[in-house]
Amino acid sequence: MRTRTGENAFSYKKHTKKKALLIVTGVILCLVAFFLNLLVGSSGMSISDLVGVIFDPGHAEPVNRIIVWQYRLPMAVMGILAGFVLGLAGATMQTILNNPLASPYTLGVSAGASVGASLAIVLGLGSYFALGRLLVPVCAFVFAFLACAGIYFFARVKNFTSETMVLVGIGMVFLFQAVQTFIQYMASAEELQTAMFWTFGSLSKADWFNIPVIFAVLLACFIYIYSNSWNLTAMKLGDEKAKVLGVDIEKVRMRMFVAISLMTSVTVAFVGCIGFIGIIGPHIARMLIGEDQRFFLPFSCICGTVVLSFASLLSKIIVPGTIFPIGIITSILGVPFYFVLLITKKRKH
Amino acid sequence: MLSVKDISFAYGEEVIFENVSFDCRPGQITSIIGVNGTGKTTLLKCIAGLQKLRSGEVFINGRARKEMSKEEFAASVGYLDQNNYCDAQLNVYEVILLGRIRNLSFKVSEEDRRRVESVSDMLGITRFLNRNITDLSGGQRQMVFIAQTLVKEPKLLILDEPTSALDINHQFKLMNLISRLTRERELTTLTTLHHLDVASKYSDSVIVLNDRGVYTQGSSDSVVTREMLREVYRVESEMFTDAYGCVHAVPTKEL
Repeated sequence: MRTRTGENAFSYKKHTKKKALLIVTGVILCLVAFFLNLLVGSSGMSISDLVGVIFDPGHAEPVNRIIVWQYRLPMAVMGILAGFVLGLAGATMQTILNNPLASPYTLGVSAGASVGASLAIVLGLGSYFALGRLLVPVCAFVFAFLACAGIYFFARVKNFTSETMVLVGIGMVFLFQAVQTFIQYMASAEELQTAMFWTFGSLSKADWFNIPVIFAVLLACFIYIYSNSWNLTAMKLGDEKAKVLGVDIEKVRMRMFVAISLMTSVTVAFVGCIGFIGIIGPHIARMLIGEDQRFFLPFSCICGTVVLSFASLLSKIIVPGTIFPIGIITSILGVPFYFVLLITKKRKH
Repeated sequence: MLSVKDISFAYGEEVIFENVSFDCRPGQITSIIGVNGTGKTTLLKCIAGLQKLRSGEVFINGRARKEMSKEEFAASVGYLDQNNYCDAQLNVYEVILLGRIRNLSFKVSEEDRRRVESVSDMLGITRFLNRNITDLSGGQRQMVFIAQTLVKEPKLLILDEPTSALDINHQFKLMNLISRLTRERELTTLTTLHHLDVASKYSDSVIVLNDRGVYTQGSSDSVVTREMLREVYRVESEMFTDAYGCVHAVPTKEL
């Protein structure tokens, strides 16, 4: 069954090099977005001032030092980390559930976090001095994790089939939205405003306390998920084909879900609901680099980071002098993308 | 060597087959034939570990499947599904490479690449290695998944309708290749087939399934008979043997 191959010979090495090059390009774009986020803000700053503040803070203007080190740098770093987490969570979720529309946002994890935060705000937990700063994200984390636990336990009954997980996730969205509406109905005008602002999602909650927490969780989860790259790639062929290749799909799906739940809950607890990064990031990555998860996972993280960092930049310049909530921008950009995706998916089938 | 001992399977209360037993020898092709809905695919899935048996056991080289770890079992069995639908954004090379999943680390070794290229060359699919799996026709996808099954280098080859999506030229080439590999590599090959002439030409042993289990089994000329076609397929037929000694059946009347 031999055939002439000559002119069409495919080089796997070249193919993987192209993918590596795309990842490098993505990293450069991330760095550009990161630098622009440091440079752009309500008060003007020259590039030389910025470089001075970063590399020689001792001799920099105190005002510039405070602006960069207390506000812009934490926000820019948080943009990178949150984009990375949401991109990774979306990519992994879409792979294990074999559903291109799955993400922490569409499966109720973010809605759970919103309920937790709103509850903490309405109960006045945010005003307990030093603890208050922590109690709102802790409550958000607990409820986001509850949403994940709900999906996990219902899915377990059905051996972690992707259909059950997606359907339970959608149920979680409705449940938490109903609870959220109830909390808002009971809240005072001031509490309602604070809770609403929290749910918009914002990088301005970033500080040098929550950044290391997210970084540590992200690092552990990324290493774990990435070590399963080949299993995840095989799962893209469908459950039966993956099983035949020797992948324990129930176990992989369950463990990946725990990792996704952990990193998403921690991140959403600190930045609020930033929608659609978990869908946009992986989809751009899928179109450009394919679904060999060794490349797809990191590239989804990078795409998530680039989109979130540029959205953050937009949030600073859209209304000069104020920071527009980034969650609104990502949703406004994301919803049309979501519709296009739905329409094209339907056409495909 | 594959030994199937008294296996039964049911979807809830609906029994699909009962007390099925047969042996498949290394270096031989065993084909399963039967009318639609008799559980040929389910039987293969049970043997491949994709469906839970209600009773009975499957032995591979004398060892019960339940005594083998999932990894060990996966390494020794290659299974080709009848359904070759796939919507993953992977190219053909990447799909075939997954057949080597137990050997792969981050960097794909020279050896794994060599095996993928060799099996692609053998099946004549080298020219579309860089194409996305979703862009291929059903027949081409079938060849890709056959390549994925073979690149694994299993000792037991389970094929569910391997020729179903192929034209006559590719059917002929593929069955010749499977036949050659089965003999050269001493593979134990078990396959379901719809075409009686293909089963008759390539099989060392044929198993006929009917409503609930094995109707008969043996060499193709002893199994593919007018009586069997009447009782299992409910057709009257004319039988003839070609110059190569293969039995052919031409249906003449529906019963």
